[in-house]
Order: sequence, then structure tokens, then C-alpha cells
Amino acid sequence: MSPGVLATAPTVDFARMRAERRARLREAMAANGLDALVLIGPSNQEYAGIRQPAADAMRMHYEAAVVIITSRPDEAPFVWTPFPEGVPDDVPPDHVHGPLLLEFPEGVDALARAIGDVAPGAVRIGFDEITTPMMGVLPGLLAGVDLGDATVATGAARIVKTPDEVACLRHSQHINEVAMYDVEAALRPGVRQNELSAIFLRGVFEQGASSSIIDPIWNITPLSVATGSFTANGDVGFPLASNDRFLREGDLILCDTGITWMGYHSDFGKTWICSVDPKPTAAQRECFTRWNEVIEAVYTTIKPGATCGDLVRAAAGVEPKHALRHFYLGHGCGCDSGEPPFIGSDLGIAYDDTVELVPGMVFVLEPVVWRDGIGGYRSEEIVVVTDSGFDTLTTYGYSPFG
Amino acid sequence: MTVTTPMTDLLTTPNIGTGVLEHRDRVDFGALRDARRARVLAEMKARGLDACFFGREANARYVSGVRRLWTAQTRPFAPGCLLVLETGEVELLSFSASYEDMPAEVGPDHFFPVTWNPMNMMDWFAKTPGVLDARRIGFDGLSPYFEGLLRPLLPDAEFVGVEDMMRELRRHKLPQEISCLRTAAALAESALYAAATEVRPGVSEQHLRAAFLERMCELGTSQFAQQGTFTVIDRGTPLRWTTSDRVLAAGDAVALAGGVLWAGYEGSLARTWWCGNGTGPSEAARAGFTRWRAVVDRVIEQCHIGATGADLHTAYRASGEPEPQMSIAYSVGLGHEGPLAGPGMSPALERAQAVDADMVLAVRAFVGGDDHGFFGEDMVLVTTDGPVPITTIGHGPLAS
Repeated sequence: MSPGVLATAPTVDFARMRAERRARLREAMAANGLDALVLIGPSNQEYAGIRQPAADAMRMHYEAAVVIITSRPDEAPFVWTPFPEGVPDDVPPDHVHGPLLLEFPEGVDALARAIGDVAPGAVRIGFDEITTPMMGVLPGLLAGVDLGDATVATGAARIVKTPDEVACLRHSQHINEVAMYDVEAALRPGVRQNELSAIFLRGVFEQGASSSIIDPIWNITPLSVATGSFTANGDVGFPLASNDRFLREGDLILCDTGITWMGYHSDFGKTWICSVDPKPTAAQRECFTRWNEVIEAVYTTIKPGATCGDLVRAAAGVEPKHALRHFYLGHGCGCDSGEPPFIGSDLGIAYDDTVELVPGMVFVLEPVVWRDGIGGYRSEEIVVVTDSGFDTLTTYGYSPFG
Repeated sequence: MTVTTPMTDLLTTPNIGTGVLEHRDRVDFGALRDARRARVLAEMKARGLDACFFGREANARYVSGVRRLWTAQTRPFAPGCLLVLETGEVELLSFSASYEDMPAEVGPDHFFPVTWNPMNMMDWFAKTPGVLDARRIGFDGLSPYFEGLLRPLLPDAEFVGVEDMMRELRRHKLPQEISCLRTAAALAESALYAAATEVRPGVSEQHLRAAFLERMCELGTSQFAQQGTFTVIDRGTPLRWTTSDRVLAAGDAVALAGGVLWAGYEGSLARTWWCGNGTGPSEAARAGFTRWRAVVDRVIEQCHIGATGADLHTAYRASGEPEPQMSIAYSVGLGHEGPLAGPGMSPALERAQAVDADMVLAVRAFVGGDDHGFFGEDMVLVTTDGPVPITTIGHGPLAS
């Protein structure tokens, strides 16, 4: 552990944060004509203030919670969960029940009864996910109710963060960065990817991370695409799943890690060189210089009123191909590590132009400058849009390029 | 220290893993993938399903063996794996755009780079032979958003839920799956023991979790099945699931629970460890273990062919312990395959959960009350000769 940089938790008013998020949800529900939300997805539940222990996706489907948000102002969520300790104090005990097993028909019957109890008279109800026993039977069980898409409301609410949410994101990123100093120091020929993951996971959990949500990526990146594994789009193969392969002198490593703290995701991406004395070539340094020009051009554009399309044009003005074809210039970050807005993705510039930047929007910029045969540079920078421009949540440096 | 070799002269092709991951040939993964896919295709034929769309990673892994970027928590539903009955072909979405993640039998023209535009995904489906002609299509999950996109593409097809079909298939293990589960369990035991050896006064709960995950990674896999529970058990209170920065004191009993994935298969277990002060566990703490042993032995005794989840629950109740807060037993394989008995399940639903040969069950119990609490979980294999333990690591000072 690096001395002197232990992560100190920020002061966050969690009760205020939950209340403000629920108010945003209700505003979005009203705007979309939804009388209630039935939330099954863990990140939407987190946003509603209900937490579950992190587990592999293959496990969580069967130890799941259900959360219902009504349209009644200030009413606490209704929760059915196997983990009552994930329910905060502002939810009264009579709103908290044992689990509803939505993977079995009797659980879906119970859900329909519960909806009738807590949201009587609801005309339109949004669901974020549908399980097998729900398919086809919900219209019959909820006669007279129009079944809608909850994500139109959760998406609209979640895209702008409150100051408390930004504080959580900042701390999550800080924990991630502190652990990465130790990983970077261990980047020597002969180290295995899984050993780097060991250092990383040990580091983040010693610092109080809530969970690890993605397999740490230590992408050994051939300097030319043709010498790597075949890719469907002819671009750089990234992010490749980690295993126990070892790193060698000179390997170009595109790392990417993410954790959560109090439900908020970090996102750390840098380009490193595995070496006892890492020294990028002159041509590789030029990639980094160009990457800096791209990020500066984007930074200059970030302000309320600009659109995501403006950011894409700013990046393209410096480097026409500034992102991997299967990714984007940037993506939102909050209770999911990849959430709207997706900036410069295959949704297209017309979509980008519809998304206007507003204060509180948080996104990760991850331009890539690639020169095939030489290598390239990729780094992720988290920014929050402010009244006058933007602020950065990422503080880690650019060694060995910077 | 200086390096004289120019970087550009160095070999740039990445090496594949050489150690403990699924590249090793102790299990014939090609044969395993073929056998699993054949089972799914046979079941699809029996149910009249022309195609299946899988959004859940466990099901995608079952039909294809794909090892994509691992994530915790569930992602919003998106079908990243297709299986077509007529052709028997698997189509896979690749998060890296690289063929490196793909199983050998999935050809280079059968995978698709990740997309953020669902219409591109619809184009991929439309181009896949057999999809547009499909009359009955299975989904392991769905969302109103994706249903809205898929309906115009497949206006006349019937959409059918298939998580129950996959659950039943996955619960019955092939011999090579049992081999994978034994490996996963061994990794989990080693990682849990690393945490147990760190149990001492002054150490925090989150330090124990860090020790578990660090050891898991050192053993070769960085994918956990569950992030685990490393918590002091207070007398007279329920088990806390959420690991905190609480510092252990002498005389604490500490729940240690964790799970590891190997080739997608889950090894999970739990123990309760004594935080010693040099004097050994108290009588109250030993009594907690004795009560736990009694209830778990009763439940495991029922893990035989012909029993059901209801029998397991009856055995739990017969021990005299209060109703459990978590499921008593669940199927383990490619992750959690649903509970057999426990809270939220009616007696009829528990009776419908058959215990059968070649199932692997996780059995767990928590005892509390006036004694020191004790939490433990074990994996057992159901055989024609009765239950056979898969997790065998000891219980440390509390059982001595």
C-alpha cells in the first residue's frame, strides 16, 4: 500500500442523496406518464436507495430484490428482498418484505398482488426487466394496467447527478486510483495478469471499496492489429478477458478497472508499458501528444448548452478516428459504469446532437489515438459538467508517457 | 537499470495463459461444449423452439462456452447469444470485437462486435439464418425496451420464456461439469483459508475480504462468484451480509463466506472462524458450531435421489432451529441455479424442486440465539449412493 494516500471517505449526506434521487425519479415518471415503477435491475434499485451485496451476474438473478416506486410524493420505496440490511432507515419497516421469487410463477402472482396493494389505481406502470414467468402473463394479472418501459424514467433521472452523487463518484475513483499506483509499480516482465488483479483487488478492498464490478483488464496489446487475434471490425482487440498469462518486456498494456463505492462506479483506463525501465518510443510519444490535443479540444468544448455532438466534432477535428470502432469517445458514469450519454458511439452524430450538456452530467472520456505498427495511447478521464464548464474526477498521471 | 533491446523488435503477439484457467486440458472443454449444446438443442426441439436468445451470461456460457469480459451484478437485458435450432449454430456478441474470446466451433463469421445502437443488433439478428423464419423463439429474460425493438422484426413469432428450461438443464450436471465444480470449490476453499488465517484481533472485516480475493487471484482466476461476507457475528442478531471496516476483537466469531468462478463454474462455501486471544473458543461458541452441524447434517442427509426441496425444509425445521433468513439449499453450477427450499417459496414450489443424481447443491444454515452464532455453507454432489461432499475444508478452532 502506498503510504500517505489512504482513502478518506468524503462527507456525503446519504439521506439527502436518496431523497433527491427519488424526487428526480418521480419527476421523470410524471414526464413519461408512469404511475409506478417496478425495478428489478440492481443499478436502478441502487438509484432508488436499495442495495444488495455484489455478486456475479450469474448469481444475482436468483438472490434478487424487487423495488416499487409509487407516484405519491415523498413516499418511501416498497422493497421485497433477501437482504433487509440493504434497506436504509428512511424506508419504514412496513414497506420491507421477504423476497419475491420472480423466476417462478408464484412469485409473479405475488408481485401482481403487491402492485395492487401499493399502487392501486395505477394506469401505467413501468418495468425495467421481464423474467421468464412474467412473459405473457403480466397483462392478464394486471388487467387494465398499461405496461411500459421503466428505463425511460430511470434513464432521464440518472443522467444528471446531484452534488452528493458526484462526491461518491469522486471517492470511488480515488479508491481505484490509489490501488492502481501499487499495480503500476508491479508492472515488470514476468508478472502475470492475475497477480496484477490480486494487487488491485486487495488494494481497493483495503481502502473500503463496496464492490468490484468488472474483471480487471490488463490488455496485452500488439503494436499492430494484424499480429493480434482476428477482430470483427479490424480495430484493436480490447478489452480482452484477463487470465494468468504473463507480461513481457515492452508489452503495451491498456488497463481498465472499475469498482463501486456506495453504489457509484469508478472507471480507470491508462496506457502503460511493461518494463523495468518503461520508455515509449518517439512515435508512441507522438500518439500521446496527439491524444492530449484531442482531450484538450474536447475539454474546450464542455460547457452547459453544448451538445455531445459538439464534443465529437471537437475530437474529430484533431483526430478523425479518435475512438475504437466498437466503443465511443465517452460514456456516462453513475450507478452503472457505462450508462447514457453514449458520446460518439454507433448511435451516430444525429443522436449525439440531441443530448445537451447540463450541469451535473458526469461522463468518462476515453479517446484512443492509434498508429498501426507503432501502438497508441488510451486514457480515461471522468468529468462533471459545471455551471461554468467542467471539473475532472480523474487525477492519475500519464506515466510513462507524461 | 537500462534496457538495450528496442521495444519494436520484441515479439508482440500476446501469449495465452499457461496455468490454471480453462486452457488446460484436464477437462475436454470442446467435448463439454458440444454435449451442453446438444442438450439445449434437443430440449428446444422437444419444446418446438426454433431459436433462443440468451441475455444471461450463464446461459450464454452453457450453450457456447464463451468467456467474455466478466462483470458483477446484472446488466440491463440484451441478447448477446443466439442459438438456432435448424442450423445448430451459435451467434455471439464480443465485447472486445476480438475472436480471442470465442470458442473454436463458433466460426469467425458468427460473432459480432459490441454495439450501442440496438438497430445494429437487430440487423445482426435479421442476417442470422433461421431467425426471421422462426415461429417460436425462446428468451431467458427480456425488457420492455428490447421487446419493443424485437416485435417489429419478428411480428408473427411467439416469444416464450426459457429460463426454466435452462435451469432444469443446468441443474443436471455432466461428468466434466462436476470436475469443473470440484476445481472451483478447491480454489474457493484455498481463498477462504487465506482469509481464515488472517482472523485475529485488530484486523478489519474488509481486510479479510481483501485476503480472500487476493488469494483467489493468485490462484489464477480474478472472477468471483460472490464478493462474500466477512462479518463478526454478534450474539442474538441475524447474520450481517455486508462486510464493513469493523475491527475484530478477541472472542469474536467471524463469518467467512465467498465464491470463485472457474471456467464459469462456481465454487462457494462459508465457515465461521474463531478470533482467538490465546485461550481458544468459549463453550458458547462451540455450542453454535454443534447446533449448526446438527441442522446441516439433517439437511444433507435428505440430498438423495427422489427427495425434494420440501424434504430439505422439513429436515431443517426438525432440527428445532428457527426458520432461516436465506435459502436452505440451491443448485450450483454455472452460477446460482435457483433455490430448492427457503423463504418466499410455497410448499408446492419446494415440492417441485426435485433432488436428482448429478446435481450439485449448496446447503447452508445460520444458527444464532443465546449461543454464539455460526454460519456455514457446503457443496454436495447427489449420487446414486447418496450425498458426497465437494467442499471439505475444516471448521478450525470452533470444531476442535
